[in-house]
Amino acid sequence: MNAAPPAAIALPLEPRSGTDPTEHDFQLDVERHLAAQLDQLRCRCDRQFAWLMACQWVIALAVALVVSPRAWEGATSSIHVHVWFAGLVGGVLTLPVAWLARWRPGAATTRHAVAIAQMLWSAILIHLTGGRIETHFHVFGSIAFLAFYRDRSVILTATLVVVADHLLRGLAFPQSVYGVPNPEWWRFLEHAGWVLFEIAVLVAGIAGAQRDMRSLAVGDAKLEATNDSIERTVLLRTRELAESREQLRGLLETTRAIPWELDAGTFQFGYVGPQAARLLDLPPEAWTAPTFWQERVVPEDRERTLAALRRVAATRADEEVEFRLRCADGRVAWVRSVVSASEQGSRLRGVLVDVTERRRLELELQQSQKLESVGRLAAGVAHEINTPVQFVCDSIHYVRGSCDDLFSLIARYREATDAARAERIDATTLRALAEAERVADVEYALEHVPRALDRSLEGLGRIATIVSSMKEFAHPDQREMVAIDLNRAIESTLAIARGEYKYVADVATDLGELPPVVCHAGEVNQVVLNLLVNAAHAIADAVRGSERRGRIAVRTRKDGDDVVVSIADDGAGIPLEVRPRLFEPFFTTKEVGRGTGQGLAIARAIVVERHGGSISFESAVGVGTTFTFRLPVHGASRAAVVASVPS
Amino acid sequence: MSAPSSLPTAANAANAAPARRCAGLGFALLALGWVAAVSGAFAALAIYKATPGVLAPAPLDWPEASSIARLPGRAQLLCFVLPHCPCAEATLAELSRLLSARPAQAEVHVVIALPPGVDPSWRETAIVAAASELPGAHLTFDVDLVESARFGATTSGQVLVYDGAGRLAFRGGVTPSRGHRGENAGSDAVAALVRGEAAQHSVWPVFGCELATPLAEEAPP
Repeated sequence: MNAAPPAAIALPLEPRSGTDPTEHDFQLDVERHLAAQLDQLRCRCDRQFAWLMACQWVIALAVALVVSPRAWEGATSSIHVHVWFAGLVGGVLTLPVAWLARWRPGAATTRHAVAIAQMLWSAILIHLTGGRIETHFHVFGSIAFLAFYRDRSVILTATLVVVADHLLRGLAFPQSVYGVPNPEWWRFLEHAGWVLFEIAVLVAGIAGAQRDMRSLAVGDAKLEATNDSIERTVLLRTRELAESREQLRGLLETTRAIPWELDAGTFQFGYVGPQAARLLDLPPEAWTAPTFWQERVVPEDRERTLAALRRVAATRADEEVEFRLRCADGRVAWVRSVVSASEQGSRLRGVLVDVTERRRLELELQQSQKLESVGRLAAGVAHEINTPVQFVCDSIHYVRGSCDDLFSLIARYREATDAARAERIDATTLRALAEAERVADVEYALEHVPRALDRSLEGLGRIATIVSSMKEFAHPDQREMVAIDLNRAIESTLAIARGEYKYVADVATDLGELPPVVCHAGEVNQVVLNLLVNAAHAIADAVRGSERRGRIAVRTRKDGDDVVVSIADDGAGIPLEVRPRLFEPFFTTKEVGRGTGQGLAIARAIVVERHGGSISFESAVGVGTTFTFRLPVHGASRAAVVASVPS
Repeated sequence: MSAPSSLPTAANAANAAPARRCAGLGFALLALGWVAAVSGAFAALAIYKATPGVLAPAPLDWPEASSIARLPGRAQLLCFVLPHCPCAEATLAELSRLLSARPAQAEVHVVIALPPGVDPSWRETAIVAAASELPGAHLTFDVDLVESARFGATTSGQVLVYDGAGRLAFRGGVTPSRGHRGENAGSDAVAALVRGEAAQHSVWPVFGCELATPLAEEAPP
């Protein structure tokens, strides 16, 4: 119990004029630490003195019982006054001090009571030991021990007790103190001199100890201030970190992009952002299940996607993947993600985006672009069909007319034959027969009817070719890739696009021997058509106002596991400034109504994203442009081969 | 609605102040009582220790009947002690100090007072042993206090010094108080006499237990 506040060493607690509040707070902290140190020290001293008094009590009793147990009068004796004194007065001194030390440790009254009692214990022990000079050292030892309180007032109290004892006893019984009946008045000072000398030394020592304690308190206050500062900094940083984490969490988990991480060895997801459940209608357990790839990834995309993940783990080069997931409700969702590997390659991470809507729009766009192409080609195709239709019609009309004449002639012949059988043929019949032959112009018919039929067949063949090409071009999109004859597809596209280029350019084909190519035929036709149309437009721009005809060279060849298709024109070439944006959607340099800016963007999407191929171009202004696209023969992996854009 | 009793209220604070004052006053009274008791005890002890024993008159001349032989021309010191008297320890310590400081020219006799009826163990006490160790001292066991009576000694620790002519030069104690060693005028006087010098005092109070010898009229020194 600390009933009274510890006496602090006197210090200017109030801030001096001009002292800033921070310095004042620091001084208060120093005082607080100093007071706490002193309180702790003085409480400890109180307890030690309590034990010391108890020991002194026991020792005093023992000394009294040994040295002066009894007082004698001849042969009779009684208990010596020393025994009573040691027992009773010793208890009177010890017990209250022990009580104070127990219940009021650190209080000023306690340590002053200790000082009084301790000095009186010195007197008791001196009395009990017959005034031995050695026992007088107890006085000095006690005062030194009292100095542990670091309180000069305690030393003063002890001194007053010593002086008062000598002074009062000297006045009352001078011979008992000084050995003479009439000592000089200052003799008590002579006796107390050594005590005063010791006290002077101790007071100086106390001042030094207080300085040391103050230095310690300053250090503690600085340490506490530093700790407070560190704690504040830690709290601030922790709050900032929490805010940052919350921001990051919000960024990761509240956007439509789904962060994920999986084991590069097992491809099992370890973490998937919570928005995955909402966006893709797949519960988190479905993502982290070992059977995710078997159950949720569309089989056609599974191996391709896993192969891409393996490549990222092996090369640690980022790659983009796009695959389909089968959602819980049976819906198929397209997702796209950039895949990155951890430093050790043991984990793969990325951000998944639901691109189902984009895919749908892309398909719609492709379809609309195809329809646009078909619409644009319709006039040319109609013209291409109209010409053979006309001469087929003419030929048929001619054959029809010839047939009437020949059928009439045949009827005359039959009449003549019947007359001959009846032997009634006459000259009139023969004249009529000859007139019929003349009208029928048999010789002419025999020569030209077959020709007319041949022209009709040729015309019908041309129509059939165009229709077939149209049919092939407008090949309905299939979910799965199929193996096609790419050269034949190119020829079909050339046929239906003839209307686009036949007035400005000639087409030269160099179609090499190609294996069947696994692809989406309709989409590849779209690519070829877009490139042909661009080539025709480039040549048209270059030859406009001149008699020159351009040249379009279409070349195919096999290169390893790929087939390479190049379409070159000798048009105006592509200006340098537009080349970087060539494959951007809706970017076009053509006038309104001639192009939508979708052709090359869709061509790139088809080649690169749908087939895992590549597309590039080489161009020289005023010389021409060559577009080359490369398709894997087996329609294999969807390696993200980014279209190169050479300068 | 009243405030909870555990919460400080103005009424509680008003009640607490007098209580604290009463407690402080009680504590102060206890402290004063303690100081008074301790002071009284110490005063009583001081009075007890400063109260001298009976200093009976001693023969001015060496009693001829004494069994202790007188040595003409040489001072003689007699010290009477009770073997169990704790006060005698201080007396013997003072004698030892003053006899050790300079070789004594006087002959020293320590008379061990044996009151009537005491058992033989009284001859082997710590006081007797200490007396036997005094430099040049002769022990005389005074059975039934015969010699004590001859020399008028009634208090343990009493010292008598007779000069070479057999005349009493000093009577009294050599301690400043009862059972308390330390320099004092009595021991200084004895020290001077045993060195053959003049003493400033011839009488000094003696502090010690009674030898139980009937008191005699104190003779002037």
